[in-house]
Order: sequence, then structure tokens, then C-alpha cells
Amino acid sequence: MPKSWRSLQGQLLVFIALGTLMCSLVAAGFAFHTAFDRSISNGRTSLEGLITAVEKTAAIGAYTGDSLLLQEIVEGLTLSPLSSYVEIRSVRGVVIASMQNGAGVLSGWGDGADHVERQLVSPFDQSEAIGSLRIMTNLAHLEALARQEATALAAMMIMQALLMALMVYVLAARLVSRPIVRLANDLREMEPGTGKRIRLLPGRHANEIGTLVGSANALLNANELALRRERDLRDEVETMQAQYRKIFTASSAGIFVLQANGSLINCNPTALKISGMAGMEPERLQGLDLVQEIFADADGVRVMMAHAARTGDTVAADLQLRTPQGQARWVHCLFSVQSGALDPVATYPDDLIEGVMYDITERKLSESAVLHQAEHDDLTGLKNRLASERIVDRFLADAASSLGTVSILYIDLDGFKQVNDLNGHKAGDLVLIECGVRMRAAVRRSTDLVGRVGGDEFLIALNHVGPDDSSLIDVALALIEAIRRPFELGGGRQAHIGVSIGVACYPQNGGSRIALLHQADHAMYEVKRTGKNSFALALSAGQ
Amino acid sequence: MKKHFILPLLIMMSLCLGRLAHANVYVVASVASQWAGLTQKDLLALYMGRGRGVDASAAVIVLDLPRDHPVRDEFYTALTSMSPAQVNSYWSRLIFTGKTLPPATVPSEQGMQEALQRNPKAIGYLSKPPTEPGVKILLVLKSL
Repeated sequence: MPKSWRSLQGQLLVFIALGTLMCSLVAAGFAFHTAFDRSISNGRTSLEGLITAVEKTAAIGAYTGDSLLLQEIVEGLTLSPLSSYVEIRSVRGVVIASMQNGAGVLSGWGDGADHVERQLVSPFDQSEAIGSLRIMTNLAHLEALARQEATALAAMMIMQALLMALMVYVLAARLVSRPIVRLANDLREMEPGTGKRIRLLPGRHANEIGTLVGSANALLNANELALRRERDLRDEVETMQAQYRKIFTASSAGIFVLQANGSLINCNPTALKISGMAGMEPERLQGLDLVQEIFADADGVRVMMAHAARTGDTVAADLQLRTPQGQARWVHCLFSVQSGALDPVATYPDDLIEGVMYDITERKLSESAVLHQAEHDDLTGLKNRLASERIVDRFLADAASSLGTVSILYIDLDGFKQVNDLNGHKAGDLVLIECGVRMRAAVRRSTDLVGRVGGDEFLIALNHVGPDDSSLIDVALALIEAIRRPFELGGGRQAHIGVSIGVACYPQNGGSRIALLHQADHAMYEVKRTGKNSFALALSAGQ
Repeated sequence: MKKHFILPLLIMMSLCLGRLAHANVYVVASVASQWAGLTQKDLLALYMGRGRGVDASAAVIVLDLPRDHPVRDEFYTALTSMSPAQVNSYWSRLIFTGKTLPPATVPSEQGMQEALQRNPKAIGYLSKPPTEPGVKILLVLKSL
């Protein structure tokens, strides 16, 4: 138990001690005065009683004038320690008998407080006064007695108050303060969520302390229950978190979260593996501009993300990754934007971009192989007729929308049939392959079309080139020159062929592919008819 | 002890009843006495010992009947309104000092008359008017 005066028990002790001190002092003072006064009064009453006892005899003595009898009475009265002097006077005031008790000096008769007097009357006639009997009180003795008695009473009062105080303190300590102090100490030692409870003293269930203990235990119960529930909930959340983390980590899809500006917040290992950053240190990943880093067309991706943010839709696309030359990798990527405004306490106040990507390189490669096969001539690797026509259509559509020009060159090989007849198909094929290579070289621009549209017929489309452009003539001359050179057939043999080229230009010679091809074909036949190994421009749209 | 009280009490009661008829007590003295008459107060002082011996020249011989005499009881009752026992107690206190003495006793009313005849300074009392010559009535005490 703490000895501090500020503790409950200490305060109780101090207050009870102070209260007892005050009460007992007041009560003792009061008791002293009361007892003193009463004792003095008792002394006077005793003297009155003494007088009454001898009154009759004194009256007889005074009546008969028997001074001896009166002296006997006076002597008898002075035997009382309460009296200091006794006298009997006649009715005329003459002292008949008197006696002093002790050797003290008499102070004379005062105002009546210091003596008791009784008038003596005749034994035969109550109305006849015959003298008086006076006793002077021994005030010193009387006061000493009174003080002694009063002191004893006061001491008794103080003792009683002390006993009461002790009893009150012991009872209060046992019934109230000690249980409360114990309760306080028990409560202080309780850990949050503890299974321990405050013990109840036996036989104290019904009072307020019992209620207090019960309430405290109820609180502890509620506390423990709440903590256990919270712990269970936390375990559950942790389990779920672990599951989600496992999914996140082990997913075959690459998952990443970006800030609105494209810098990386988090991503899973699959995302790193897909994007070719598997070996990168994690520190370098934080804040990395992922879009710039991994996508070949970073600007295009940013446009997609902006679109997703604007519309709130999920945007999906097949995107090519930025990879070293010759190892094209493709991913199917989905972007969805979480608006930051929905979650005001989020770490990142801006929009968050969630991305998911799947490696589709394999699929993409097989797709393009098929596409290539469908669009290209097996032998020369040039575009086939179908693809060529589609490309011409695209060129024309572009030109139509931008007031541009397109030149179509229709090419027929001269003398190829003889090469084929003389040297066999194998040689013919070699010539055709070599023709494709030389034509491509002559055209130079990769964006232009070089296609094989028949056995020995080729089609070249020059985008943004019109009849007035010198490059048209240059290309045509380069083509003629290139094909006129001898073809090595192996084994020292050579083949010599030529080309006839018909040219038609958009929009001068026609508005549609069919019209233009027709014009070009027409011009080419015109060349063939007039001498071969040359080229001719179509004259007009009308022909 | 009790018998001593009860017996006189019975006697006293019977006397009281008888006294209703004859209640007077006659205070008497010698015809040669200096007194012609007496007040009851003077008589009380004489018989109860007041001032006796103070005035030696006027000495009076006060005569009394014996303690068990019925007339004495009547006399004191009429004189002091005290019971005989109280009168006896009164004298007991005074006899104690020896300074004040009770009246002298004569054996009977007849003896009282004879003593009065012999002594003119004497004073006494009777239940009836005096039968002997030379005795005069000073006062008639009427009790009730």
C-alpha cells in the first residue's frame, strides 16, 4: 500500500485525524466548562443540603439562645471541606457562633456568589425570624474539585472521540478505501486484452465496491472481446493480403501501377520479366518512367492512357516493346485509370494507372507470318497482286484526302519467255527473283510499292510522286537500266531481258485504281508495240 | 421499637377523640403570683426554654407533668402545635448541651396544684379549673 499522503487512505487518515482533533477540542472545551459550572453548582447545592440538615436544630438553638448548641452546629458544618467559614447571627446581627475552617485569611462577605445563607425562623412561628446561618464556600477547594472533575470529563470526551475516529478509520479503510485502493492497483496492472479479472473479496458482492468491480470486469471483458475480434480480423486481412500478394506475384500476367505521368509505383515480377527488366535492381525501378522505358511507341501509349483517363474506360491494345534490333516483342496491354479523386486519403493524389500485360510475341509472330504469306509472292518476296491492289487503294485514298499525287508504273518483262524456254523454269525463277531485288533497289524508298502481279508483270506505285516530278523519270530510267543488265544464271551462262513500262498518274490519268491501271497497261502496250525497253506515260484520262 | 411507637399513637388518637369534648387546658399559678395574666407567646417562651436564665430576677419555676401524662400532650399540642414526640425531640437537642433545661416535672395534676400553692413563682397547667384554693387561672388554652 502506498504511504503517500495523497493516496485515498492517506487522505482519509488525515481528514479523520483533523476532524477528530477539532471535534474533540471543541467538545472537550464545552465539556470542561459545563462540568466546571456544574461542579461549582453542585458544591453550593451540597452546602445548601448541609444547612437544611442542621436548620431545625439551629433554629431551636437560636430560639432558646443556646450558644453551645449553635457552636456545636457551626463546628459540625466546618468539618465539610467545602466551607471555609461558618457563622450564626441573631436577628439583630450579633454573631452568636462562628468557626473558621483552616488558617486562610477571610476575604469578607461578597456579593453572595461566595457564600450560602439561610434565614432561621422560630420553630413555633414561621413568620418570626430569629437569626441567620451563613457558610462561606471554600472557593479554592471547590474550584480545584471542579477543575479535576471537568478535566476528567474532557479527557474522557477526547478519548471517546479518538476511539470513534479509530473505529471510523478502521471501518472506512476496511469497507471502502482499501478495496478501492486494491481495485485501483489491480486495474493499473491489467494489460489491455488480458484474460485476468479483478477478484471480489468474499461477502462484498452486494455493495457499491462490488458493483464497481463488476463494472470494471465487464469493461475488461468487452475490451478483451474487442481486441480478440480485432486480432481475428487482422489475421483474416493478412491472410487475404498474402493471397492477393501471391496472386500478384505468381500471376502469368504482368501487372503494374503507374502514376499519371507514367512513372512506376509498383509492378510484379512477371511484368519485369515480360518487359525485359528482370535483372534490374528494385531501387532503380521506383519512379522509373515505365512507358518511356519499355514501349516502342511511348507517345502512342501516352495517348492511350490519356484517353483512358478521360473516358474512364479500359483501353486495350497490342503494343510493341522497345527491344534490341531483331527481337521484336509484343504485349497485349490493358490500361485502366483509377481516379485519385475517389480516394482522398490515398498516397498518390493524382490518378493511378493500372496496367496488365500479356506476352503475345509468339502469337504476333505467327500472325505476321500468315499475313506475310497471304500478301507476298512466294518466289520473289514482293507483294502479290491482291496486296498490291490494296496498297494502291490506300495510296489513292491518302492522296485524295491530302490533294497528293500517286504514280503507277505497270511493268512487263521483255524476252522473259525466251529465257524460260531456253534455260528452263529454274533459270526463269532466278531471273524473276533478281528482277525483284533490282526493282526494289531502283525504287529505293521502302514506302513505295513493288509488287508482282502476274508471271512476268510487275506493279510499282510511287506515293506523292506526280507526272511533273523528276523522280518519276529517274525511277523509270533506273528500272530500265537495272533490268537491261545481264542476269547470271550460273555455269557461266547469262540471260538478257528488258522492260516495257507504262505509267499513269493520279489524279491526271484517272481517279480510280482500275482506271489508272488500265491507263498504265495501255501505255505499257504502247511501249511494247513501239520498241520495248522504254517507258511511256499515259496521255490523258479520256483514253 | 415499633411497639413503642404504635402504642402511644393509639393512645394519642383515643385522647384526641376524647379531647373534642374537653379540649381546654388551664394555665394556672399561685394566687400570690406576680402575674395576673399571660399571653400565649410568653407562655411558649417560658415552657420552650427561651430566655430562661437571662432575666434572673424574674426567675420563674415552670412545672410540667410527666412525659406519659395525657394532659401534658394536650397542653403541648395546644401550645406549640407540635406532637409530643416532636416536643421530646426538641428537648433532646437542648438537653444535649445542658445549658437550657426542660421544665421541672411534678407527678400529677394534684401534685401540680400543691406545688403551686407552695411556690408563688411557679407556673403550671391543669386539664380542669383548679380545685385547690390559692391557685388562679392565668390563661385558658383552647385547642381546636
